[in-house]
Order: sequence, then C-alpha cells, then structure tokens
Amino acid sequence: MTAIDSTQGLPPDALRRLQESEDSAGRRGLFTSDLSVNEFLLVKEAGFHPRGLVFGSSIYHIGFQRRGLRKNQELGALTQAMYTARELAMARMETEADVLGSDGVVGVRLSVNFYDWGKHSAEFIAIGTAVSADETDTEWKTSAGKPFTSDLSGQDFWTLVQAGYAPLGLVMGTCVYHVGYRGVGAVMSTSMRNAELPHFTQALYEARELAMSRMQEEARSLGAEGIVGVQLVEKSHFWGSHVIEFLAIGTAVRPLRPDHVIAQPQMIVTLDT
Amino acid sequence: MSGPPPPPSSSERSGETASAGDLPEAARSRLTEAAGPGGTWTSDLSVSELSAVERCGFTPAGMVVGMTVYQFGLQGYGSQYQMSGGIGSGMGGQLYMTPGWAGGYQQTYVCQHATYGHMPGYNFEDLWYERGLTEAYTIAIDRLREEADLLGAHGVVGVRYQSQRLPLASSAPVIEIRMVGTAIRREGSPLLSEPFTSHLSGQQFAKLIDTGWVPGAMVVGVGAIRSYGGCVVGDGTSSGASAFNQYASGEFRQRSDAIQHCRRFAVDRLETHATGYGERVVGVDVAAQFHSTMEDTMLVENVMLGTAVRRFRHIEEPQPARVTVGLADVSR
Amino acid sequence: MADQALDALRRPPGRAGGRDKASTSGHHRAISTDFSVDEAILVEGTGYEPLGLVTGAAIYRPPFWGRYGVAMRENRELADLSNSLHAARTIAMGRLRSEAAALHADGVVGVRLEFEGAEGKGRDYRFNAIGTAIRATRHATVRANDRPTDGMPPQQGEVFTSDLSGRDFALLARAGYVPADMVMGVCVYHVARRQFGDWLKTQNANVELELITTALYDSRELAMERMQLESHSLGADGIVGVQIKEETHVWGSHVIEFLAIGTAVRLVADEHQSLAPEMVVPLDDLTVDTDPRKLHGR
Repeated sequence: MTAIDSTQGLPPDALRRLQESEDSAGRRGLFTSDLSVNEFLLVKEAGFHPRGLVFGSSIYHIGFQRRGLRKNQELGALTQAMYTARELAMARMETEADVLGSDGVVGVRLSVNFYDWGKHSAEFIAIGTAVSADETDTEWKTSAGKPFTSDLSGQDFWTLVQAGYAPLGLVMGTCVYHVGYRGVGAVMSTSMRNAELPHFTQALYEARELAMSRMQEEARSLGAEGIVGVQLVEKSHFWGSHVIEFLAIGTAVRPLRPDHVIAQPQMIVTLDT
Repeated sequence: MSGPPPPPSSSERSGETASAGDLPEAARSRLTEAAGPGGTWTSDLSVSELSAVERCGFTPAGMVVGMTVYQFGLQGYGSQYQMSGGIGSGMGGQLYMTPGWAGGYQQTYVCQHATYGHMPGYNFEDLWYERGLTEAYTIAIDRLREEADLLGAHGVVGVRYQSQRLPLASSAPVIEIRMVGTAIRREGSPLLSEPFTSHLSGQQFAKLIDTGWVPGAMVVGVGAIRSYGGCVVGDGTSSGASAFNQYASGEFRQRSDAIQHCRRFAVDRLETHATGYGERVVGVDVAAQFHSTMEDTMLVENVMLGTAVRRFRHIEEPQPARVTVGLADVSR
Repeated sequence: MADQALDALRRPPGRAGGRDKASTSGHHRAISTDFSVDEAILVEGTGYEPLGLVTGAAIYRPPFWGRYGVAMRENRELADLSNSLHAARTIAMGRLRSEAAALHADGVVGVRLEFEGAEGKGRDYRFNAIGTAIRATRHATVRANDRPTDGMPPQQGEVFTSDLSGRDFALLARAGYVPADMVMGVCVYHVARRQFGDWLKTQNANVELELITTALYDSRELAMERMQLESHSLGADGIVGVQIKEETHVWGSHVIEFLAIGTAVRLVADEHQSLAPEMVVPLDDLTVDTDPRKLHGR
C-alpha cells in the first residue's frame, strides 16, 4: 500500500482524480460538486465557476489524559489532538483545491466519524467545492497565497459577495475540558435549594470562552474584519459525561469595498409551506 | 402479463361495506350541525393555506374524516380468486403451492441445477390482497366525499392519510386507514355530483387553480406480488438444495421481476383509476413495502396514492416564476 | 376561475376547455407523476411534458468469495464486490431507461435511487429506482440533443436520467443546462486490522493513523474518480449535487462501501445564462419545501 505522499499529504489516487478534471485544449475541465442546483447557480451568479469536489481526511488516535476527579481543567493534549486532526483534514482539502488551481473552497463541511474497529480513533473529514473566479481583477486567495475556505452555503456566499465582503478562511477554536465532579458536601448543601452551581457554570463558561478566543485569534492572524456564521458545538464523543469538547467554527471575512450597501431587498410574505 | 383489473366501483364491493349513507350517527349529527344555521366551520388549514384557498374564491366548510378498519380475509378460500393449482412436494419434503392463481401475473423459475429437479421458484400476483387494499383505500376516500357532501361542500383539500396494521386478535391481518382533510365550498355554486378530493395543501391547490388545473379526486393504485423462492434462495442452512447457492452470484432475477412488476402494476392501476377524474396525477407517494414472511418468501407491496387533476383552462404564455434569494435563515 | 374550475368537474374528463395535449399525442389514459404542484408547473414552464412514472429494480447477490481472499492486515479494494454493486445499479437504471424509452421520453427527472443492503442471510442487495419520464414539446427552451422532431423514438441510450427535482431541472434549464445522466462511482474497500504491536504503541498517544487514513482517503477518491470517468464519456461539463454515501454493515465492520452519486450536466446554451436573482426578505418563519414526499406532512 502506498503511504501518504509526505510532500503533498495526498494519496496518489487523489492527485490522479484531480488531474483528470483539469482544463485541457481550451475546454474547461469537468467539475464535480456537492452543491445543490440552487447553490451551484448562485455561485455562478457570484462570478465563480466550480472546479471540483475537494476532500481531506485524517484518522487520528486520541489517547488518554490523566485528570483530577474534582478539578475543572482543560485537557490540553486532547485539545491539541482534536485541533491537529481537523487541521490535517482541512490542510489536505486545501492542497486538493490548490492542485486544481482554484481561488477558494465554499460549502466546507467538517465532520467526525467513529468506526467500530477502533474505540479511540476517529476519522476527521473536510469536504467542500473548490471554485475559481471568472474575473481575475480581484485577488481572492489569502495573503499567504492559499485558496480561501468557507463553510457558507452557496446562497450565503452569493449574498456575502453582493454585500461587498469576501470570505477569508474557515476559522476554528477548540477546547476539551474536564468538568470536575462536585464534592459530597457541595451536592448535599444544594440538593434542596434552587441555586446556581458556580463550579459547573465556571467550567462551561471558561471552556466556551477559550474555544471562542482561539477562533478569534485565528481570524485576527488572517487579517479578517470579522467572523460570520459562528457555530458553537459541544460534544462528548467517547469520553463520558464529564469531558466535553467545545468547538467554535465560523467563516472569517474581509471587506472588498468600503461601503456595504446592497440593493434594497423586497419584503415578501410567502404563502408557501 | 395480464391487464390490470380495474379498481372496484362501489356497486361491486364485497360484503356490507361502504355503500352510500353508512356514516356513523355521530358524524352525521356533527356535520349537519355545522352545515345548519349558525354553524361554525372547523379546519386544520394553516393561516397561509386558509388565505390561499380564500384567494381562489373558496371558503372552508369543515373538517372531514374518512376511515375504515379492514380485514384481509384468509387467502380467498371459496372466492373467485381461489387457487386453481394444487399442493406439491419438493426435494426434502417441503410442501409448496403450484402456481395457478386465476387471472393475475405469474411466472415460474425452474431449477437451473443440471441434475437435480429442485423446487421451482415462482412469483404470483396476490389478487385477493390487492383487491382488499384497493377497496380499503376507496372506502376511506368515499367516506371523505360523503362527509363533504353533508357539509354542502364542493371538495376536500389537504387530506392527510395514515395506514397502520391494528394489533387486533384476528386470524387475518387488519388495517386501519384514516384520512383527515378540510372541506371547502364555493358560495353560490350548485353542488357537484361528487365533491373533489385532494391530498395537496391549500397553497398547492391555489397554484393549481391559478395555472388552469382543478383536482378531481384522490386516486390509488395497488400492486402486491408474492415471491416464493425456489432453490436459489437461502443461505445454505434452510434446505438441502440451497447449499448450491452459497457460491451463486449475479442478479436474482426472480426478485427483481417481482419488484419491477409490482411497481408497474401499481402505476398502471393508479393511471386507470385516475382516467375517470383527470389527465394527470400529481404528488404520487411511491412508498413501497417489502415483507419477508418466511426465510424464502417475500411479499412485495406497493400502494401509490396521488391526486388526479384536470385541466380547465389552457394558459398559452405562463408567467415564468421569479428567481429570488431569501435573506432568511434557511439551514443548509 | 373557481366557477370555471367547478364547471369543468361537471363535465366528463378529457373534454375540458382548451387543447388537451395528452389526447393529441395518442394517450387517453391519465399520466402519473410524483411531481409536487410546484415541480409540475415549473417543468411545464420549460416546455417539457410528463409522460408517467417509470421504475427499475434489481436484486443482486454479490460473489460469495468477494469478501475473502484478502489478508486481515491488508488495505485493499474488493474489486469483485465493487463490480457487482456497479452491475446491479446498471441493471436497475437500464430498466428504468427502457421503460422511459418505451414512452418515447427524452429523459427521467427526480429519480430516487434507493440502495438497500443485506436482505436476509444471502447478503443480497437491492437497487430501486423510480422517477418521472418527461419529453420536450415544441415550446422547450432547452433540448437534451438536437434530435430531429420527426416523431422517431430516441435510441435507448439517449434517454437521460437525473436525480434532480423538477424544480432543479427547471432552474438548470433556465441557466442553459440539461442533465446528461446520473453518474455513480463505487468502491468497496477492506480496511486492515492493525497489528497488536502497533496498537500497543499508539494506545496512549495522540497520533494520526496513517495507514487507515490512506485506506479511507483512497477509497473515497476512487469512488469519486469513477463517477467522474462516467461523466467524461457523456461529454458533461460538470456534476452537481454529489452525495457520498458510505455503508459498513453489509460485509462486516472492516469492509466499507463508498458510493458517489450525482447528476452530470451539460451546457447546451452558448454560455451560462444569468438568472438575475432578486433579493427578498421573507417575513415568515417558514422554509420553502417542494419535496413531494413532504406534501402531506404539513
């Protein structure tokens, strides 16, 4: 079995597939896309042409980290693992987009799959549609010369471009946190009262803030103006109830022009269901 | 392949089921009250549906129900569909029925193994079951109409339907079919001999009328085929013959045929049924069910339900739909 | 309109006001579609008429030995199984196509291709396809090919299939595209079991499992590549609405099937036509849904 090519990070079949869809002899290459028809048409309206479905995957073994039973603490090694695995998948997807010579990737979806052959390993997947701009007068790539990435739908992408913004990159921050068990005394003293549980409040609050600030840091280093469509996802994966991953993910955007005026939208009431 | 039998009309129905005027007393009094002076209408239309229906010049007349609890008799002994074949015996002593159901589709798949005369596989159309299912749906639709008629309505829109097998103590399977919709009325227009019925929502009804179509009736098409596997079915444990099949691969033609024919029959009957009501059928629900009754046998069952629509006006240059992007949050 | 509509119901069907297209083309039977009203209106708006529901089914038994002959620790495609899945789908779609060809259709839209695995202990699987056959009328804005309209039925291969809804078909037609065909790529892959030593080494570490990554990555790419190759031969410009499905249950946990399915489309207009969408703010909470399966869900 051929191992992953260390320079590109892609399996050989991926390179071959992507090369097959390249332009040849003045004819545009075949594009593949998981965009719906609506999204495809709106991406075209926005002045982009889909180039191909791009994909990145990483199977990662997530080890165990010792934790204090009662202690609220971030599990740094796990945070690092969850982040690195996603980053690997994203980077491979970006490489695929780069091979296609595209300007960016829209409709990125990140997912985590667990298979029954490995309890503590998971597959991290990034999938999206690589697009190239029809006009070459705007630079769509990031300042590092990489294709932009975005988890926005085709509709949102069109609307964003209409409003004079460009997506810059999919940014994320994660934090795997151990929420400490409470002592018997604490449980007893509150069991009959309506009371805030400061121990838990503080744990969940801190974990979310950590994830969000890491995401913001990523956006700042990209030179973004802001982040749209942030989602905060919480999952325990296979860790049981007291270890939670908080994932913040969104699309960092930059302005294309100083004003963001759009055509006045019509107000409608649809009688549709 | 034989031609599909037409769905039973109300005159040739079995037993003492729905002839006109067999609604329960509670239904009669509810509907008469609602239709009488000072009556109020009830409706499960949403506000959007209500305004769509009203825009077309109709008003709600009341909610109507059509239902039936129906038993499928034991495979037709003593009926005209009784088997004309006989019971045979295969290798290993299993009993099997030889094909010979009167009138329906049937096909035999003889054993391909060179020297063994194994039990043949065969497909046959279960006319008895098909007829039962068709009748049950027709009864429910007829009762919807009857209730609408009592309300002085011209039709029923937004019919939702459900069918379920009832866990009743009975030697034969019993199903319940339930339909609920809203009867609508056109003020000042004489009653129709048969109110229309439709499973389309209020908005879809309005769009139909706008584009020159009117619903005629809910129509149903049923197909049911039993497929008894011969020596090609099985996993090598159930009968001596199927030890050969461990290693067989390729298309299982007998089962493919069963599904293909079953769907074809359901579509054909749906279209035959609809021909009395309109030129098109829209919104056909194509749910198919597969039951494995035993290891080697399968019952393929298809009930297709749709609304037959009729053109009343030809629009030469239809307005093209506008393309809009909503600035609303629609999840991807 | 309401009175006109009710009057039509007082007459026997087929003689309603206006020209009845169905009867001029020799059909006197009703035509069934699984279109919602929206889809029916939009498809007719592009100048296509429905001809009826068409179906195709295939039940297939994969080669028994296809699962074996692969070492426990080997990452390898099970080519026999991939081929058998491909063959089954080709048979099912072929039947759908020939039903459509018998109706002199140009194509089939809204195809629902259901794949179900492992029926009984025989590991049989089932491909079931159903969709609505359509044909261009003289009002058609785009045509699948420049076939002369002298009433000759198209060759069987010319019937296109598409899993796009009637609404998507109409939108694509406005932009100047027609569906070329549904395309699919399959890859059934055996993922190696890891050696105990390996497992021991990584048991507590946070590391990427490179071999497994390669296996899964590779098999998805193979499925997508095969789908792309299918569309190359159709002269398509692209594939939209690709879905990548994976199943693990049919042949046990270490065998994964990847299916990539989409509709290849071809630009028949000189260039992409802009739809010039308008921005609107819907003042309601409802989302528009034209899926006929949800018609009565309300």
